[in-house]
Amino acid sequence: MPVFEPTAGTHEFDAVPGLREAWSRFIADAFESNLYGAKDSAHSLLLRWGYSDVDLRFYNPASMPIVAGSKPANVFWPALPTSYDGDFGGKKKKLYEYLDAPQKENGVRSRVQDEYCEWVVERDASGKAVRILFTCEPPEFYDFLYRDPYGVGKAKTRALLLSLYRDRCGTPDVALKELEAGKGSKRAYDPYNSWNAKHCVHMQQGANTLFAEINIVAIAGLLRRKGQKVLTDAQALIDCGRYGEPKRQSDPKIGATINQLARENRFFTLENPVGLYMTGLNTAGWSVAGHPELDPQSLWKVRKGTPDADPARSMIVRAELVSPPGLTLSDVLIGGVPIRYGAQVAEQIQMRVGVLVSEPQAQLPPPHAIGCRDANPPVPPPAAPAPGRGNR
Amino acid sequence: MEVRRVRREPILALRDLQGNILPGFRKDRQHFVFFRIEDASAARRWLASLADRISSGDEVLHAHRTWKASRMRLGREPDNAHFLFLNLALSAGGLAKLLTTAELDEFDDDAFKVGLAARSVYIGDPKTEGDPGHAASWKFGGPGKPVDLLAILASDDRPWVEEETASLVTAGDQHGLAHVHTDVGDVARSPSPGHEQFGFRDGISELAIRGRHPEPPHEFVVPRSIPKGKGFEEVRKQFATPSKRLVWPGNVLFGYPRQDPNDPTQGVATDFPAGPKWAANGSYLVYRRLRQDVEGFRRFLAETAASLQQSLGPDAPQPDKLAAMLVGRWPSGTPFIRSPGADAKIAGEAANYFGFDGPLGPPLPGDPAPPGAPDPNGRIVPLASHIRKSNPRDLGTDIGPATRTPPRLLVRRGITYADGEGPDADRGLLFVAYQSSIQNQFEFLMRTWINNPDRPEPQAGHDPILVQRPGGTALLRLAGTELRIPLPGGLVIPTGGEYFFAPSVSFFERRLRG
Repeated sequence: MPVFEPTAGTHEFDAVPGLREAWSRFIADAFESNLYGAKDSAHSLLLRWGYSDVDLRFYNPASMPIVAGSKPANVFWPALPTSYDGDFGGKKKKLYEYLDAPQKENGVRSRVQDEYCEWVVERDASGKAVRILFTCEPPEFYDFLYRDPYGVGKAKTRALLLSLYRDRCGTPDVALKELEAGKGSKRAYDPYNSWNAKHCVHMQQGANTLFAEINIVAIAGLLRRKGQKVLTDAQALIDCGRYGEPKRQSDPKIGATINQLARENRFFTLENPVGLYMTGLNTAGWSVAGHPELDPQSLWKVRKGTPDADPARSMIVRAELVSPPGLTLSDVLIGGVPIRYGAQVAEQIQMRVGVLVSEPQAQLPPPHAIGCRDANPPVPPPAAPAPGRGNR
Repeated sequence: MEVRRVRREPILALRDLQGNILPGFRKDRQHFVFFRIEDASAARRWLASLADRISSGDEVLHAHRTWKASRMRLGREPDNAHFLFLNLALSAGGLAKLLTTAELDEFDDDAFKVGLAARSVYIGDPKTEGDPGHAASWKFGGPGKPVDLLAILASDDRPWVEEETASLVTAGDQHGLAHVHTDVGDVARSPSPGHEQFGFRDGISELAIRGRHPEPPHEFVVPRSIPKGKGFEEVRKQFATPSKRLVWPGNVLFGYPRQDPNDPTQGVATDFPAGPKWAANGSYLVYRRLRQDVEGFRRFLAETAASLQQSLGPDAPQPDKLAAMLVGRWPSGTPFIRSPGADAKIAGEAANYFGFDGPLGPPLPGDPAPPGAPDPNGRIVPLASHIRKSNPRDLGTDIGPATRTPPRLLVRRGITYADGEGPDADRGLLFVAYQSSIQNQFEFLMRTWINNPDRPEPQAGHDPILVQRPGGTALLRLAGTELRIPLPGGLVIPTGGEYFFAPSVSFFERRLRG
């Protein structure tokens, strides 16, 4: 019986027997490696400071039952990145142009949209935007189908991969070899393949991954201190814990929220299905020029996942903004301003990650805080293990 | 692209920037006079001729010093040290008439170019024509009532400012302008001076623009008064005084380094100007005429307190305490987090010395009240309270660590107004705020935080004071329970306004003359 649902709870994996179970195992393994892996896992950090997994508050629901009374909670952030704001002196148009276009970073041309939501703008011959595709599907989902790490049957999983690509790209022309890079034994799935680049099949920015999400929650769930002062500030925590990307909006906020839960001595795990989700598009104040009867919200088409009026429950991983009939997106006005860039629309999209949070565990001592650098830990290990439940 | 990072605070061109931006007029009587340009050539000549009369930052600073010296000497407010200040600002429509469309296009800010009325629903104002606050019903600035020029006249001498206003309107009439509307701001037309119409002390928390005087020894324009003692190091880096958080000038003025969003002690300069060359030393000015429904506010408090009484019994707050929770301060300005039981009436700079993640630093000398407890979950001050929605201070938000918040804030220069007497009087706030990006600052605060129930904090609800539309709620965590109180909306109703640009003095001297 699988514990973890496929991202967004979709049924695409049902086409291949055993695939849902394999995905669940894949996610459970990601939890385990971030919690208990030999290197840089939450547990390994605690050990280096002389503590044990008794101080972990993040847990793997595949290894430990959901703590009774746990309730869902969310972290929200905007889909429009701010990491590059400083480079453009607040000049939005330059920033939007930069964000809309793939950029060469670390030798690879890739989208640089780094808030776990990426987009591609389709334009007509005159350069007007006609459709904007948004995705927050993790690359792991597709790489998993290509690699078939749990031996479900490569032929079937790759056939499904191809079928999903053809569906996303709206053409039967996609070939498997076009999704690969490298030669011989190094041949692998290429997240930067031209079909993904053009049709925004899944996220490709280097840090926009499901693994990153799990890692942030695992590492940020450790209490930190500088001297004797327990850290609470979002910036200080991410600088100290070195999880995620400090320049982003999402990672420091997710980290700070998670760390606060641990400071409050709560157990927490990620919402199932594990994913990073768009909650919807805020079209308040939007209009279609010359067509007051048109509701701009009708132009927002969810292609994968489940929208919900309650943003805390929405699980959208793929959506597009389409042109009104017979018009282009430049006829759609956001507060009177025509849409020219995908970034303008991304600014109106809210993202979320969900967690399940227990009540504070009054019967347990609060977790120990570790320092920021792991050489020569100044605090000796406790004389005896603290009472209470480990989470393994 | 070239990005330069600087640590030394820049010299500010005080003689070129308008004085209401820095240091602010701070006068008891302020008239906001709105014109439409009918004859661009005549208007251009007349506005150029006003250059010498515009009160620069330098002039206003000197005036404030003279006034303060008189007060020190006399031991009371002087009655013989009056000044009359004049500042001017142009809407995008006004600039388009005086200059070329191409020059207007050089402004990056689309919100400025399309104007406040077109952005009104976007920032959370009522969307249905006929509803109070909808732009169609505005006294000015709405559809069919454009305004091109705003003249601000300010003085403590009421007859003088009235005479000057009348004279300016007449002169404008003779030089190609048509008078559209005048708002009269008056600190005396409020429950008590320095308090807004709901009865709360206003203008406590201000932004202090980093920068130095042009003349040697190049002192800081905004003096610094954080104690030099141990424990204050971090506070000193980020505050000029306990009530004034420092911000790099580029977040208010064109042509200066902006604040590094990840390091508030560092400025960032780029080669990307956010407007035409002549825009240097200018600033966007957001003007909103906001009527306050004082009776509606009291009714809402009484009804909500009664309803809470039913569900919470003796733990329910009385209306005055509920009001303090929803604002985040007691009427005296005392932060609720530092005095949750009753109003401790913390005076002076200490009234702004607090964080929501715990004390900012050691106690200030002479500050008798205890520091506030950490309150990240809003168990003391609701997450939806007005001061938390508009400035979450030391807490990280949906846009990242707390250092990202100050670059989003505004230099506020508002003043109360009241037309008529009695409960039906039209009274409220003339909201005036300066910034270098309307979209990233004023509009961000309105759309993304104040009117979004899940940001900056999830599930917090709407700002109970500023939310316009009905149907909003605010989360209260009281006596171990979570309650959502329905908000009526429309307690603060926009009745006019526009986005303006307050150019430098040299714009009038050179660009308009040229």
